[in-house]
This record gives sequence, C-alpha cells and structure tokens, in this order.
Amino acid sequence: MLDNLFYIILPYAAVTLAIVITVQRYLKRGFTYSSLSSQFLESDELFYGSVPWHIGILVVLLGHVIGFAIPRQVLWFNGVPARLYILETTGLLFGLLALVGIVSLIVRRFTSARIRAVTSWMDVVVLLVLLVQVILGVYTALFYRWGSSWYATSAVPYLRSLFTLQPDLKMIAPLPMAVKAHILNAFIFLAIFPFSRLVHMLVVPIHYLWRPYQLVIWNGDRRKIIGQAPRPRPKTVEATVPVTGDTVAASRPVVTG
Amino acid sequence: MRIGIPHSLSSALIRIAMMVGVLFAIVSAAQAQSVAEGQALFGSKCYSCHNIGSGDKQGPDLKGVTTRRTKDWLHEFINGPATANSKGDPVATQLFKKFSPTVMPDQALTPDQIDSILAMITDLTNKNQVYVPAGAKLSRAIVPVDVNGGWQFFTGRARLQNGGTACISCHSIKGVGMFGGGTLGPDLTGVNIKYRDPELISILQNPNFPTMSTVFGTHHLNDEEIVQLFALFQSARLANPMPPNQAGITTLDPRFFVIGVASMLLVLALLNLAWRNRLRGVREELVRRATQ
Repeated sequence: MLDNLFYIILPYAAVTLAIVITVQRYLKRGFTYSSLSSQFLESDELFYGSVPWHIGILVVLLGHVIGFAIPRQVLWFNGVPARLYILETTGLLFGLLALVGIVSLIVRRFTSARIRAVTSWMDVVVLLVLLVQVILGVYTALFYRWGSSWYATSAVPYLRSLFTLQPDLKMIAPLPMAVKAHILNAFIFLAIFPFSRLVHMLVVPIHYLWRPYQLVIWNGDRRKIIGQAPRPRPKTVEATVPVTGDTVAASRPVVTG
Repeated sequence: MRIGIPHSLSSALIRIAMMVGVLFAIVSAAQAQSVAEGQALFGSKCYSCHNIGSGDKQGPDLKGVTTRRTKDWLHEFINGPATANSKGDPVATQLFKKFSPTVMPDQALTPDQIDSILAMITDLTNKNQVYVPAGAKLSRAIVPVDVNGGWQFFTGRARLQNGGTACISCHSIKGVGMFGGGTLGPDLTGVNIKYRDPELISILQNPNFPTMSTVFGTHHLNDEEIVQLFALFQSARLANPMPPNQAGITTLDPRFFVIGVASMLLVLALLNLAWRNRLRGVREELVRRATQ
C-alpha cells in the first residue's frame, strides 16, 4: 500500500510538479533561475565544496542515465570482472567526491554568519535531500554490490515501466530499504526541484565557454577600496589601458614599485 | 421354487454399481489430477523456500499445514502474506518474526491452484511422504570441464542464453575475483551445503525467491547452463566444506572502500592542482572584511 504511494503516485506527482512549476516559474519569474550567489566569494572552502560536489554528482548522474538508457550494454561491459571492478570503483570515487563536496558546502553554509544570513529554508531542505541521497547512494555502492549490474535488471525495468505509464513494482518491492529509500528520495528531489535553487541546472551558462571576454571598467575611486587593505600595500596606479582579453587583469592594480 | 433377485432389480443394481464405479473413478482421477497439478505448481512456485517433510528452508516446512490451519486462512495468507501480517494475524506475525528478514511475496495463484497445492500437501502428509520434485534432475552427467563453464556463466563472460543477469551482479562465491561478487544476494560458496542437490537444481530451474523470480521469471536458465552452474556450486562445496554462513548479512569489503577513498583523494588533489591559479588575492580581501 505504502509502496503504491511512494513508487507510483509520488513519481507521477513529482514529475507533473517538476514540469508545470518549472515552466511557469521560467515564464513568470525567469530572473529567479539562479543558484543564488551567497555574495561570499572566498575560494578555499567554496572550492572544496562546489568543485568536488559538481564534478562528483554530474558523473554519478551520468552513470545512472547511461544505465537507464543502455542496460544491456552495461551488463555486457561488466561481463569481465576486472571491468566491473573498474566501473564500480569509478562510481564509488565520484560518489565519495560528491559526499565530500556536499558536506563541505553544508559546513560552510552553517558556520559562516554571512552565508547563514542569505540562507532560505528551502536551501536547507535542498542540502538535506542531497546529503541523504548521496549517503544512501554511497552506502548502496559499498554494501549492496554490484549496483551497476543489478540496477540494470532490478531498477531499470521499474523506471521504464513508469515511462510507459504501466508502473510495475515487482522488481523493486523486494529490494533492501536503503535502495528503496534512495529511489523515494530521488522523487522527493524531483518534487522540490522547481521550488528551489536547483533550477539553476537548467540554465547552466554553457555559452560562457565561447562568448567573448568581457571588459570590466571601474568608474569609482578604487583607492578607497584598496585603502581598506589589512597591511601596507605597495604604491599602485590604475592601469589606464585595460588589458584586452582578461577581465581580471583589466581591473587588477598594476604594481609600480 | 427359485429364489432370486428379479432380473430387472439385478440389472438396476449392476447399473448403479457401474455408475458409482465411474463416479468414483472420475473423482479419484480428478483428485489425482489435482494432486499432480499441485505437485507441478509446488515445484515451480513454492519449493525454492518450502519443503514438505524435510525441514525448514527460507520458509517453514509445510507438512501437515492443512491440518494446522483452516482452508480459508491458508487461502488468505498465500494470496497476501504481508497483508495478513499487517492486519495483526498472530500466526502470520509469528511466522514473519521467525523467518525474518525473508518476506513471502504475494502469490498470484487462483483459488483452484491453491486448492490443488493444498490437496497435494494433504496427500503427502497422509502418506507420510517427503516432497521430491519430479523434474529436479540434471539433463546430463557432470564432467570436470563443466566447472569452468560454470565460472563463465557466473561472472558473465559467457552470456546466459535467455538474457538472464550474470550471478556475479548480486552473488559472490569464493575465488571469483579481487573484490568478490555482489552482495545484494547471499554468498553462494556454501549453497550446495544449504540446499541438497534436487533443491538446488530446482532453484536453478525456478528461482522463486522474491528478487530472483522477477529477474529470472522470463529469463530461465537453460539445461546446459544449469548443469554447468550446478557443477560450479558442487565444486565450491567440495573445496570449502565449512564456508561461513553469510545469509542476511551485508558486508563492507574494506579493500574496495580503501581504494575508493584513495582514488577520491587523488582526484581531489588533481582538481586542486588544475585550479591552483584560482583567484585568491582579491577574495582574501573580501573574506577578511566579511569575517572581521
């Protein structure tokens, strides 16, 4: 009974919400499509949070999509134990990378007063759902081996049955609680997606890769800002001609000695 | 004076006797057919987990179950064991507790099919016989090279003809590889000790465990695959007469975990190297002001 609610009703409700609200939000409040900068541009804690998280989760997600799209081919690849071990270790590696990333991001968000100030309750929900999802995924990879193979025969048929509108719970009903919780939490993720900062993944600024460089020209008196430096600085003058091709260099003071 | 039964009466008696005989033959034939059908059904649907007369397996021995429980109770329980348990049926609760963590899945059997299985159980119980599956035999004798063939099927190097998933996905067996086989299902090193030969062969023919029945329900192993996998399990029994019992225990492989963590740290170090020129100077200023 509960299985029907969690694995038939919830998935369809979540997908409907995700599609309808996502489109509506884009049309009505398009400028809220953002990961919402914390305006706190430090590059150490954020680096050890954001970079491992994004690389880890993208590779792991890609693995799930590949397993869903071509399960037979994945099983063929896993037909040689050495290849199975390489694939599983790779999956675990990126899962752990995502775990390190999300834990760093959570620690950063709750230990810095400045970030706490711009944290909404939905941010907390998002971080919690993602943390639970990654922990369950890594736990499954470690304790219920080898997921890359049994995913193809025990979970993919269920997911496909949802797509064909003929939900069939036979395959997942007997799976361990951790795995079922992982699937359930994925649908919760989908349901909160349109209401949260997660929508930023739909507007990844891919075009940044090929757009022209931007020049940043400071019109204010930068010496006032520089004057707040913690230690005596070498005498500086503004570069009069912006260096073409590098926004950072263009706004960086030039040391004259 | 002749004393006798009038001709008409005797012929009537003969007719009645014949009719009773035919009726009896029909009833006993129907019963025999029901018992035969029950045997076949039991072999494919129940025998993976239940014995009749030779002890508990994943589930209880069903000898005498038709006298222990009422027919209605049995029908209700077989159709939905979990429902019976959640309704608070004391017998169901006790069974679920005893055989935890195994949960008997709901059986898609018609009332007639359940009746034929129950008739067969009653029949065997009355005769004090043990259930022996008729078809649980290998299609040919095992030869030494079959063990190697079994390894090929187990690891997935050789594809199972009907599209079944290789055993290694969910099961391990001693000697399978550096990190072993899967741990979603139990370790199969001692499977031929846990299950006697006909039981194991029957499971290979009809693996009716909750997870396996869905995976292999439409992808049965063929006779040749069964022979070779059976040869592998038999050789594992001979090589490891006292394997640890791992049923229901999920374990962590420390080597897999350590290699996973080590390679993750390596990638983290590489990422740090790749972004070593990330902007720090301007940001240090911002951080200082923000945290002052």
